[in-house]
Amino acid sequence: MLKDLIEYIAKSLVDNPDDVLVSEVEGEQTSVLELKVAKEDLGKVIGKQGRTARAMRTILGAASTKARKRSVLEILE
Amino acid sequence: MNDFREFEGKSIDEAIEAACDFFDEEREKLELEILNDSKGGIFGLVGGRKAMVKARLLDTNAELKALVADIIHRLCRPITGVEEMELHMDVEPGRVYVVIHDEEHSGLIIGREGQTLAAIQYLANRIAAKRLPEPMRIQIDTDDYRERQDENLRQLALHLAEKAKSNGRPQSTRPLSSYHRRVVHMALQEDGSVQTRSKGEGPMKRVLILPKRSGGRQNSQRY
Repeated sequence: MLKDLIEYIAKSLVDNPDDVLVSEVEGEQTSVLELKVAKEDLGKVIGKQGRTARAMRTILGAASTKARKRSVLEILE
Repeated sequence: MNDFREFEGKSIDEAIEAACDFFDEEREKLELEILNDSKGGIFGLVGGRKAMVKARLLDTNAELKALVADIIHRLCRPITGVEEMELHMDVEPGRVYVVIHDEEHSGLIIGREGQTLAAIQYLANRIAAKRLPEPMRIQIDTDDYRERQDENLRQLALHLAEKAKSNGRPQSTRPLSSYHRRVVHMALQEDGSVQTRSKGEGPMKRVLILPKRSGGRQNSQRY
């Protein structure tokens, strides 16, 4: 569910949606969502002063209550 | 405002033409329904019946509304678990106002100090910008949360202005978004005895409220 959310947002923002890859590394209490995009799209998912990345993390935080699991977003270079 | 109206003519085409003239639009922009065809009477004079159609303007915003609704549902679904929340939308040129009606989940959607709502709005704008041919600003509110916030901010602005006037020192708000800074500027625009100015960089921008010095004092400070 959370993975789908990040995938939807990332694919909607980038120029190369086919290169978007989200993988979930599950932990006991926290899972890590790793987001990979094409190099030239990196700026699009991070945003000015990290605003887009922050917004994604905020929504992820809000959704983790429902999912009963904490998730952190990591954007891989 | 956009109710069906009836039009008549000697033929269906003529009736439709009358509708086009009335709305001053092309046929493609109208939602048409044929009520009855014309019937020729004797020499087209007696006993004939005119063709009737009803028409109204197509909701040209329907597509835009559907897109915005889809984006908001997708962003909010993982937060609330609700498949589709009740949305109310108003479209103005270059702007869409969305009000989410969901009392049960509004707290979750708003988040601490409105953070979640701001994030949803920001991402919805970014996503829509990518999909729409022309710029469109989406503003999202849940019930009347934002309106209440703005009112609190206006009260704070007036309070700070009073303070600035009484002790003669500049007052500053906490860091505010551009939208909220605008609310402060607008609230004090009418007040001739204070000046407002934005200060800071990026997300740390605040509004400074400066007491305007009277002419006399300013002169006395000059050397």
